[in-house]
Amino acid sequence: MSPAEPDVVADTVVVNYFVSAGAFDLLATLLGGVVFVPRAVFDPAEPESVADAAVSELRAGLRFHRRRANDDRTPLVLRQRSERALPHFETLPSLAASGRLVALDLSDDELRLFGRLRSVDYVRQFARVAGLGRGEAAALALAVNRGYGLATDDQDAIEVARGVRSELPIHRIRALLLRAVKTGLITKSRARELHSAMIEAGFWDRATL
Amino acid sequence: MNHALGERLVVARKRRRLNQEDVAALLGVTRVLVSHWENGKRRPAEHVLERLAQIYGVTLEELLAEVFEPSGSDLVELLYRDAEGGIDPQAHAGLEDFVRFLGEFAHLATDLDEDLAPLTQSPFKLRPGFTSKDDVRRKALEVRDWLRIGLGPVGDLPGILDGIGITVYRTGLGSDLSTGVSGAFLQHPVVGMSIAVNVETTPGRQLFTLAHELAHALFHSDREHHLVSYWTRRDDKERFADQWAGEFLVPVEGLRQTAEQLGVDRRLEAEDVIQLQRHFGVSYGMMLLRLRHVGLVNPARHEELKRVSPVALAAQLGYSIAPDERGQDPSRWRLERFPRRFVRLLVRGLRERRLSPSTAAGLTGLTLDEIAELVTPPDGGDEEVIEELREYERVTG
Repeated sequence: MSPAEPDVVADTVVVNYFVSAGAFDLLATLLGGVVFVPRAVFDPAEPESVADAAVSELRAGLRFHRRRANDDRTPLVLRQRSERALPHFETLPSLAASGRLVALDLSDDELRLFGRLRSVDYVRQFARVAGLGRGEAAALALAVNRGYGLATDDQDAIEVARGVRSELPIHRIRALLLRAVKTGLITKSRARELHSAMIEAGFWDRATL
Repeated sequence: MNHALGERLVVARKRRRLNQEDVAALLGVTRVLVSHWENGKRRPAEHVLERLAQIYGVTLEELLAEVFEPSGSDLVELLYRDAEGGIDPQAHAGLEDFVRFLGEFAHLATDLDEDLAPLTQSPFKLRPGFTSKDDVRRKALEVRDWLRIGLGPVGDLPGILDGIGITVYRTGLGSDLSTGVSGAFLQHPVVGMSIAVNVETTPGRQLFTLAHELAHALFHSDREHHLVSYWTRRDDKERFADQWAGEFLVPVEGLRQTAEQLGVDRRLEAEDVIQLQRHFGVSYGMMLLRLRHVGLVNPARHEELKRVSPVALAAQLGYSIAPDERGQDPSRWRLERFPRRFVRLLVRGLRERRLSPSTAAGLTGLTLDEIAELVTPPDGGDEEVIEELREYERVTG
């Protein structure tokens, strides 16, 4: 079964924190049943042996939590954080195998835009001090070129997206959670729980729902 | 188009004198996959293509341009030329990584208006003809005086150097010492004196490399703006740097004093060498050489003591063994790879919202979660530490 044409492409931040909170299914439902990402975010085809310097970002997160959850030299509070996150990150390969997490390939033009978005020389025009992260740059290149919305909660990606294409629809984490409440997918208290769980996992958002 | 990209990948690879096996090993993929990329049967994902561009010393835009005209980095070329092609692909990739990091550090500091206060000129001079053992010893003591570290262990040398504006960056430069690189020195136009240390070596070896490169920075940088240190390199500068590193890390007087304090004035046992080695933070082999140098070990005893397994003995004696002493794992090095000034700059940029966590992750190769923890450490401290703080408050009123 080939997945439907996406409306929205997600970056690393959004998938990372929905996965960390154990709410990938909710994200998939909100995005039309499938979460589309560029391979820089998660590449189901990459071998286990791939070097850290060439690994997709969510698999890097999976490796990091695997390593830290089993490292007894790591301070307990950090080890416990990885122990909590690890079971959720371990589901990524099966989510991809089941077709709910789909990796998209970039065209040549999108690759060129990806390269520019990764370069500080290009993003300086949007008052940024370093090139975008790999997942953010790849997702934005896809969104800009194909007219998709962009699910992100990365401030640099949002600033650059607004500069590159001001009308680009952007879906932030809080907005996604609020939409889930409004459409009856979850209760308001469940949305608060998920938001807290994401902050507990490191999501940089102090706003309350 | 895939075919054209493949052809450019071949040209870029050959320009770096790498074969498909080398590239496959650097990326952790099969040679067949590299071949598929080059003949256009498959295309690497965007982040893999970016990594390939880094390995080949070109930009992604250059790799994707209709006409392939790589500019390359002059600094990397200088380092390659200095290494005379006698180093392995991992060392090549590590040197690329070093130069790329320095460029990013410079960009970030400029954009955040941070004065890196780099050391660009050495306060020391090495006059021709003054390179005898006594001269080397004197030079080592002069630097110790300058750094105010007395005659004892050097302690946190990367931190000390960071404090005086010398950048220390750790990267993988090859695990095979016969073809790898132990370290490199580069005078960067913005970051100033910069040192790369190979993380694929033991902690003792890393400290020695750092001291060796420091010798280049302080005594050779008036004439040489870049130097790569590798196993087979044997010239006057390398000999000086090796001798200086030994004198600097374990000064004769400091060693004699410590040995006397420890009561090591009789026939030295392996346990004594371990104690001295751990005290100064250097390798067992280096401590043996220093002890022989000061006459506390004779050649015959030196040969006997060489047969000891120092890590096993240290563990038996109750010393804690660092993970890198048992085996090197470059992936274990996370934020500690970076100089402190860079980490502080990163944190400042994040706190001031001048860069986002994803951008910082992209810049460092760390995960999003590691960056998030850097700025907002998790709540819930260590119970023992909290209790200790309470006790301290009670005691001090």
